[in-house]
Amino acid sequence: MVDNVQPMTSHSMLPPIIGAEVLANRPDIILCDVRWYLDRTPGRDAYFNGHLPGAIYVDLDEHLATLPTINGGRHPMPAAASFAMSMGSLGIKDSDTVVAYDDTNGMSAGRLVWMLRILGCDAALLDGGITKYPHQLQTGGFRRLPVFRPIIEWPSEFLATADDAAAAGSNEVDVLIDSRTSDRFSGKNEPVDPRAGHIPGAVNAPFGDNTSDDGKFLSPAELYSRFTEIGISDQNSALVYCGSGVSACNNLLAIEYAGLGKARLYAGSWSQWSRDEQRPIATK
Amino acid sequence: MSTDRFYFRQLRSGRDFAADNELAEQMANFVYLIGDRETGDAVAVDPAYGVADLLDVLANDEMRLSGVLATHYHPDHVGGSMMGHSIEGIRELLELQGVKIHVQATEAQLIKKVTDVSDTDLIIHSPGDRIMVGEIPIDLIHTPGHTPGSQCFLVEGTLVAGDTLFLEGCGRTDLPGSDPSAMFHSLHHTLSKVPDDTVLFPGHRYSFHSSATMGMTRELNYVFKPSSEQQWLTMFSQ
Repeated sequence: MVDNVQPMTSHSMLPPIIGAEVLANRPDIILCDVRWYLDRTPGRDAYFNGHLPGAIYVDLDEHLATLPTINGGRHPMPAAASFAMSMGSLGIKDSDTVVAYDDTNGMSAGRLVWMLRILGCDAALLDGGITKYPHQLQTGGFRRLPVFRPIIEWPSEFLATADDAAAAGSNEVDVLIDSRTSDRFSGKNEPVDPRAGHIPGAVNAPFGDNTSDDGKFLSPAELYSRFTEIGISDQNSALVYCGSGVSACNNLLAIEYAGLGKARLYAGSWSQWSRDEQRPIATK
Repeated sequence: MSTDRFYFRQLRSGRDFAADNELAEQMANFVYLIGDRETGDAVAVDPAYGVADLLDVLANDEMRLSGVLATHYHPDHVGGSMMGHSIEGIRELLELQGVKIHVQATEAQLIKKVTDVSDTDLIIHSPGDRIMVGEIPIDLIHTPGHTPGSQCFLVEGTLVAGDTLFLEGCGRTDLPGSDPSAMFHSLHHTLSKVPDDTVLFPGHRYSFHSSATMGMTRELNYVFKPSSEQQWLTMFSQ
């Protein structure tokens, strides 16, 4: 079988976040450009105008989510079979190593990395994204030949429902984390969803605070302090949400990078919670 | 059945195969390869446009073609002449590899007419038949409406629906052999038994996404909005 005659790789699994220097010695890595913008500016246009050499474009809406619904949120997790077909059509095998980037501090690329990592695949976020990439970019499109990719079911231990989020906000053990900006958390501003505020019991940890002013991630030690200060420890479980289950993945990767393990994602997030009139909201 | 064993590929015409074929690109058909990785057997659903390419894909994956499933007789799915174009399909495939074509009984004559295959090339099925690819069962669901003998395939939590159902909309019911009333029954009764978590894989890429669960599709697709056959016929009869 082809799989059996491939040379054994000496590479160990990547940490959730890596620097561009890692790419220099790893021509086997598949680079994925996952630029996506909340104002609907097409990320694909940005990709065609300049991307990391050899990178392919991965569309958040098309490949990393399924159809949005009023009750299910803006970026529901795709079915396992759909994700397998999407990755296969992009030419990404389950044994490949993926490094993803964007130009928004890992806001959208984190979703791909997190999805792959919970499936046991080797994937990391490029620290600093395309903004800090030190070499020349490539223009135009690039694509890989499609490959067969087996269907791997989503591990349920990493996915949470609205009821799980409600429970995490009200019990003494779990930590419920809201990854949105503080003005959305407090309800002072809500640009997208019908109700403003947050899930009762949540603590605010904006994903943007995982990076410093230069756009690079804080060190694992700094991230450890950040997340332990809001209550995450080895002894409890964190449940993370955001607007639609995208930027929360940045926090999930940062928590893992800090050495605090893998936490759960509530993919429906505020886009789902805020549309359910039965769900309470908090603003303090 | 282990997920490692289930072989399933969705290939878009003009992109993943028949890459230089403009019509294939415009029609955006999906061909599916379904198989058992342990035995190496695979079937092709609706092979058209570039049949040698499809055999190459199987060979690269170390699978071998053991049969063909036809959702319906239209030339963009099985080959033949359409809109002045000649489309490669099952007849050309049989010249390369001698396998049988699985069709619904009510579609058999139509498929023979458009492709020139013979009776001995076909295996005629009744609604509800089950075939095996390796040790993986595939259920054949007769869903008339787009054509008299349209069928969908249910295998390992996936529904390969041909032109019976897309993520948005369904197959046309204004073509010769179409039947809007039968389509209502197929969508609202026959396919209502397919569980919500089954993933729909359509015959064309007519929407942004290439697949979605049946639950999502039922919630969002306007073809599920009419609550009665009368409402349906008002919407879809020409």
